[in-house]
Amino acid sequence: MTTTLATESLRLDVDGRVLVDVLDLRIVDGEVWAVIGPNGAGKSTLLRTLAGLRAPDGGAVQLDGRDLATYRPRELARRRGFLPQSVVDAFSLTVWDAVAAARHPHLPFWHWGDDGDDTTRRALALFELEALADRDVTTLSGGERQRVNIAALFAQDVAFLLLDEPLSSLDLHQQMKVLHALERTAVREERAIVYSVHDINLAARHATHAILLDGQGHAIAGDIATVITSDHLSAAFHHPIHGVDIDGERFFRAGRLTDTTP
Amino acid sequence: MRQGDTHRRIPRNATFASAMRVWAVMLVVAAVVAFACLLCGSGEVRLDDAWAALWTDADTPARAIVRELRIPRTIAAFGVGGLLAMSGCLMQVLVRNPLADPYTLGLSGGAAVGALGAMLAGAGAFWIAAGAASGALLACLAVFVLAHRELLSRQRAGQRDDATDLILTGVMLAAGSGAIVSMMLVLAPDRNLRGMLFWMMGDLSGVSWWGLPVLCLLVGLLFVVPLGRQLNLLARGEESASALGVRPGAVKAAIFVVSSIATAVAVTTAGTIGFVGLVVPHALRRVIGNDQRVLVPASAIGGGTLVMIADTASRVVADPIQLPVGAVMAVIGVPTFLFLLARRR
Repeated sequence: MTTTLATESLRLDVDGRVLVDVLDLRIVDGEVWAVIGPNGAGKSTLLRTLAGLRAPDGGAVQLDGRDLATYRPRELARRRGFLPQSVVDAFSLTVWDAVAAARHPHLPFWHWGDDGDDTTRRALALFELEALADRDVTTLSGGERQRVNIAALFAQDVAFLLLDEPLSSLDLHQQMKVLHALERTAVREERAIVYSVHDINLAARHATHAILLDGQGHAIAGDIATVITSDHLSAAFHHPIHGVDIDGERFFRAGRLTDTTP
Repeated sequence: MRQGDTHRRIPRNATFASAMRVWAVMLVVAAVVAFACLLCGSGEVRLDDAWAALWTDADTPARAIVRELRIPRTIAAFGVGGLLAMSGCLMQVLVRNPLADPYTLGLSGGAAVGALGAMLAGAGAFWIAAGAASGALLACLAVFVLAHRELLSRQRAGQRDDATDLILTGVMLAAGSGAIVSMMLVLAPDRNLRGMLFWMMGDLSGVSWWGLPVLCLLVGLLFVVPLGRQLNLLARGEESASALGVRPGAVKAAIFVVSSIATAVAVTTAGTIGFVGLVVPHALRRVIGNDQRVLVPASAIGGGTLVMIADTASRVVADPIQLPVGAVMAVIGVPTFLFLLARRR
């Protein structure tokens, strides 16, 4: 079964400021989308809107042809998962419990929520968290906590994964692990991934499509090669960004500021 | 323990069987404590007389004291403690802050203003209870309206974390009612003063509807326990909870209502008894972990047990004078809390 997340002339406002004026998207399974743009351009707002956690300020978001607002929260939680930018834990709980809790939408109301779940175990294994299973999440480092929350998203076992800056605070090895896991699950298990990221080069290498926001109403969405170009990037970031070819791969680097000496 | 895992282990409590074991052990302890409380008391009744009075129908003075005074009082103490600990536990999830309890959110302050106002007016027991209940509920309503406007709106999971607002509003309400209470105490005629002070510090003597707290506790638990999984998710944050299919607004409203009613009933029965709602969930969290499915009922049992002990101590320590149970509770609670906090570092 193919799943589609589509927007029709989506508009996003924050405090009367138009972040995205018109955005038409069609995300289907097997695709990996990177959301890029300067600070405050609306990356998180877009992800939260696509997740149905926030109503669009104009236009519509549809999951499988049905408006997101018509889904019951539990129903939606069985179809799409969302990783917030930060999860701050006020209370102690084990890594295992944090990941297993994400099985919630799949369990009936009266279900206690049992131990020994294979999906939970696989999610922990995928992000090398078995050794940490009994640790208290509040004692973990930022990167470990981030992996726990990504593992929880995998335990939720949904067709659409929306991740708000999943790579922040991860070391290089873990960044590659997470990107690999995302790309792999998109292709092998026919899921659709949307993640926001600051590193343009990572996005260019680990996504099939991209959405570039400039925070002033313009949004470009489409195939990665057509969206991520020096011209588009320079315009969106208001900064000269050049493409450099190294070993046949294109890298982007920001130009040094020359108008003032450091 | 795994190699390299030098950190403190916290228990994982995922299975229903392990939860049942925890509850069963705590219930047995509560039952033993309850019997001890029935047997201990002022010097006039000896232990063996009290024991005999429990089982015989012989019409002795000991039997009258045990059956008509101690049993109702012990049951009321259990119910009140359970209600306070349960609502403390729920409020800590509600505001995602381990420092929340019915007292820090200003509910007891409102109740005190209501009850002392009735006492100042020279009203009877019924109106004092009514004053306490309406004071507590009014304070709830005030916290609710001032800090939690979006609880009512249909907005799906606001990004803003309003926990700080809620707790600050509660602290302000508590401070405001504290001021009103001290004014009332100054204005009160001398003959009312002692009763007012005792009410403020918690008093279980002469409890009239002694079965009510336990009944409310049972109803409250039956309502809250099925929400356990959702409470666990909510404790980790609203955003992630709503992404997992929880309606944060609905669940928060439900636990707010339950904990407010629980507090109102407890305060109406016994006056202000602090620290139960704060200390019991905290202490249990250290021992059995922070799984709300297990923790909420366990807090209720633990809170009940603790207040039974505190109430008996208040009767026995300075016999024949009865100490206010709230003060005894604070004497037990503060060092326990500090010890737990210090051991954590």
